[in-house]
Amino acid sequence: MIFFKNEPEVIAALEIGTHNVSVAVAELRQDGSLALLGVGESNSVGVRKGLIRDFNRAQEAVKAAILDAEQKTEVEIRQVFLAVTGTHIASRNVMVRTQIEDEDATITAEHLQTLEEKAFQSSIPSDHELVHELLQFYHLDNRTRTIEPIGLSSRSLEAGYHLVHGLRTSLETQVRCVAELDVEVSGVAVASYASAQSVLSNEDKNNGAVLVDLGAGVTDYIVYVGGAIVHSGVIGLGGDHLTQDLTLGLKLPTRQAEDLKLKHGNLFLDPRAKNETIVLSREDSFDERTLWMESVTDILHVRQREILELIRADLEGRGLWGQIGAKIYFTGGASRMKGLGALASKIFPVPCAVVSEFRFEGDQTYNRRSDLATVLGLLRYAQKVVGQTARPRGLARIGHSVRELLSAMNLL
Amino acid sequence: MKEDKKMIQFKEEGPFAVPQAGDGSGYAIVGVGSAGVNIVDHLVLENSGWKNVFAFDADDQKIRGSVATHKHLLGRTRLRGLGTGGDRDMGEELAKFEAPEFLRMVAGARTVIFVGGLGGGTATGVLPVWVREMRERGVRTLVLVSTPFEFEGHRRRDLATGVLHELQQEADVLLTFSNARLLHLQDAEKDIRELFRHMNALLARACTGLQRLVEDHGSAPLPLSELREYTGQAGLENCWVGAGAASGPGRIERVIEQVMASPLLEDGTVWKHAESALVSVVAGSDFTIAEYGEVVKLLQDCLPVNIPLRGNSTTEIRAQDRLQVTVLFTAGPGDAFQAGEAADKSAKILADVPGLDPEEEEVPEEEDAGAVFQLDASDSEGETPQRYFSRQEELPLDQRRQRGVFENTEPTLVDGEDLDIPTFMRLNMKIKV
Repeated sequence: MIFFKNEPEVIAALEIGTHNVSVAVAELRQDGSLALLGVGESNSVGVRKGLIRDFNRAQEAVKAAILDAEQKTEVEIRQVFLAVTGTHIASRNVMVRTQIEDEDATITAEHLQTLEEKAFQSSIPSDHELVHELLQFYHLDNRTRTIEPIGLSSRSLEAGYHLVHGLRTSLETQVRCVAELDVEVSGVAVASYASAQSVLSNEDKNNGAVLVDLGAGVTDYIVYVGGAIVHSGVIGLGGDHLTQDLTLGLKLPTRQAEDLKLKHGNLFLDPRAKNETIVLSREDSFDERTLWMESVTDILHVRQREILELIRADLEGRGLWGQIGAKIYFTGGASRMKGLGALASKIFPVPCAVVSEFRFEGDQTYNRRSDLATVLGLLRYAQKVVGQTARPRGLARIGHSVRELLSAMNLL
Repeated sequence: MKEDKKMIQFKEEGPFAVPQAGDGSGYAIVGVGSAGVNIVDHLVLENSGWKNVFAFDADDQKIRGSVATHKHLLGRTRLRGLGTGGDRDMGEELAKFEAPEFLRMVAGARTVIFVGGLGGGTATGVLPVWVREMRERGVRTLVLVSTPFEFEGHRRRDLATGVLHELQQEADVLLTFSNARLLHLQDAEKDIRELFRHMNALLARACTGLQRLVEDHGSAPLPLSELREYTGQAGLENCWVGAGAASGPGRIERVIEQVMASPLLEDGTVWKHAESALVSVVAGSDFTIAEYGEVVKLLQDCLPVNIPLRGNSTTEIRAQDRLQVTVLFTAGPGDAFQAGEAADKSAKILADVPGLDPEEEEVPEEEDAGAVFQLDASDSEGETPQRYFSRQEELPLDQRRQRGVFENTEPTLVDGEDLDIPTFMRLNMKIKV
């Protein structure tokens, strides 16, 4: 397929994951639709639990991924949207209020601006930086909820926002890692938010849905109720924990455990195959070994169950389950584990679905790559940002304050 | 290529570059720390043919005096050869710092037998780190450690038990020997050094015995998976070694006599807990299968309990007339490591340890259900019985140690619990091996 590459608007999204660095490139067509051109990838190095531990090596991996993307798409990448994650990411909901002073009490864009700035001033830990200020709804005097208040009459106006913030140093490190490569970071989004854009439909969001991105390093999740984001979170547990548990439980080298997990991993043991064994063939410094399948499934099952349980408990504590009309969706590399859907169904009080395919126009090669949920979703986020204003303002320069860099976008 | 873990490079300078027949190529015996180096020195002096023996310590005098084939002073610049002074954290730092040199020296080894004494600084700090390094590279690890004497103090014992837990997770096989076992020896009380010397000699024999059990050249080598079944979980003591050597006529009887008279077996504790006997027989080329059968049968006859024997016999031309038998009596899988169990539970658990033969007459009537290990009442004369299987419930789950791939990350804490520790472990689940 030939895409119009002469003077296209091209957007690129980058994620520095614990296992993979990926760069997704798409063309923004005249009609506003998005066509995927390709995804560049490289093995991530020096990243653990979603955070950069070894800056230089991580940066080399980022560089390799960008080059790969450029090669695949024949596009020069000069700026990217960046996904960030890490257990330091926290969120909360705030309500802000303003009076409508005008005589006719008509709400104008300025009032919305005022509210946005007020929300921006909300207190977050002093070592944190605001990443997202996501509008949930507006409330008029009579408690009418709306998302388009301009032109309506009211004495006062309230707005609810979902704020997402993170440790300034961690965020700066991530941004700097890319910016130092002479690639501008035009915008930043947290992974859970980005992933949601590749999975959840507007209908899902309106009916109430949860998206869980099971990654190698961390698990990100986000909750929509009535079309608005009401909660998001990051847990420092992921596919690596499943592997590590196998490593310690079966006394295998890490690499072997990872292979075992990918090839034979299952959260349930087929009752007919109770005595099933797996034979690991003899290698250089490794005897041939026979493992009980039961041991493998036992170890994986309790770990995965624990992770899912934490999410369930979190949402229950906030009284959110009653508001989920749609489903809880699972994506991310670790969602490919056999038996995940069945296990989730046992744990969560709402219907569960493991995302099998993304819907994207353009390059179809990546549709089933659940580990690319974040970066593909980030493209959609970028699409909205780019579509909304002529150009995102506050372009990154090295040394530029992160606060200005991470311009608050009020998008649903 | 995965992450930053490199596969072993087969370097020219390692001792394994050119496999030599009969020297157990592919194996390395590594002594760490003061006791470890003493043990491997003993080993080399008794068996001059053993080439792949390594000594590592932070004490300059120890290393210089060592007769190991390959040796290295740890932390030369930092400690200037003065040792770790019992500082386990220092030992650990050294381990990480010296890991590249260690790896270079043992490059090419397929199996490493580590040996050391727990409770001090060097072996206690270094062993867990290097064992993990080996495991990560797919090298088999067999670890033999001695655990401190009673009088060495509470602190040393606590250190030892904490590290045992890590070693249990990281090593393929862990054999633990209690120094305290020798305390009752009649003449031993006169000289502490004598006690340690005995122990080192026995551990040296245990090392060579173990290596001979698993090496390919024997008549019936013990695969690692099988060996693991015989050794299971370790506490402060899960192995007792008996050794003997003799030549000339009647050598079989004399050897077995020596084995049964071995100090560690003297007080009979072993018979309460041993579940298997792993026998290594080394003899010259004139040794026949019939004679081997005689050894096994005689041993079986002499054993006060019915224990399955598993043996491997190795021929060494150099041995000529000399017959050498080493027996490792191992306690089977038990409920040794129950981290977090309440004090009152542990007694019940110990009483449930399999291997206690109900028909055995040795069990004294007065024995209370909780104290599994006890000095024979007649020996102690009014002294309080010692517990050698020290308070199980106190085994600290030293959370820093099992970090593995999560090294250098913030632990994922939820409600004060470190969730980086495997879930199955925190739930005390038994995993079928």
